[in-house]
Amino acid sequence: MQADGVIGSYAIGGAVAAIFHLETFYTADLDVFVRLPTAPGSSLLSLTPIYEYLTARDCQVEGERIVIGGWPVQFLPPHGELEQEALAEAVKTDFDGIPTSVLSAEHLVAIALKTGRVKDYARIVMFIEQDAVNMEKLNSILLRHGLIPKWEKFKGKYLEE
Amino acid sequence: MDALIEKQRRKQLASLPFPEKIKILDKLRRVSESAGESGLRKRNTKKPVSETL
Repeated sequence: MQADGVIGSYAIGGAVAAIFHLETFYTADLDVFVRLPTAPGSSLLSLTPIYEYLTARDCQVEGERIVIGGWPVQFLPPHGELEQEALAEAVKTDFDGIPTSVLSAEHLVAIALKTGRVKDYARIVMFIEQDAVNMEKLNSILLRHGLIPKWEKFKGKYLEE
Repeated sequence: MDALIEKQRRKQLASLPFPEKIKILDKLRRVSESAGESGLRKRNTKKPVSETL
């Protein structure tokens, strides 16, 4: 898709990215942060070219997701500054010889904190319990994106005994 | 002591190569799907009122 110009840079996010850093846990789907190329003279971003590209290759659309090789995949343009930074600083890795990128543990924690659902908080606890986060790096991300007050509140509620 | 052993075990699992972890996840997903197909996950499905009367 990248080679065909349908997407720009991308990185695996969400639960599958968390699994890259942590022990494996169950998740049903795959989130991919993706930079979308804009049409010349336009600033509008659209996921339509991705859907058209994949449905032409027999992938099925299921609501907001599209099933690729049995995996429901959601493509997410990085809307906020935190998400854009996360995509720019994603960890380069390879999957059975295929180069790919995964969001860093620290950015995943910051995004989970910002999103703030119960499952996001549970995932942050997993990162902390498994010592998978560089606290210095996390603090600088939280500071840059105004998330320190939320972090202090989270810490008081879930991390301090 | 148990907590320490558990922490070590989780660290070992976390250090597996990414493709290995995805293979484990794929197995978990298949188990979940077959549980769904066999009806094991339908126990909490609300029945229509006509069936509960």
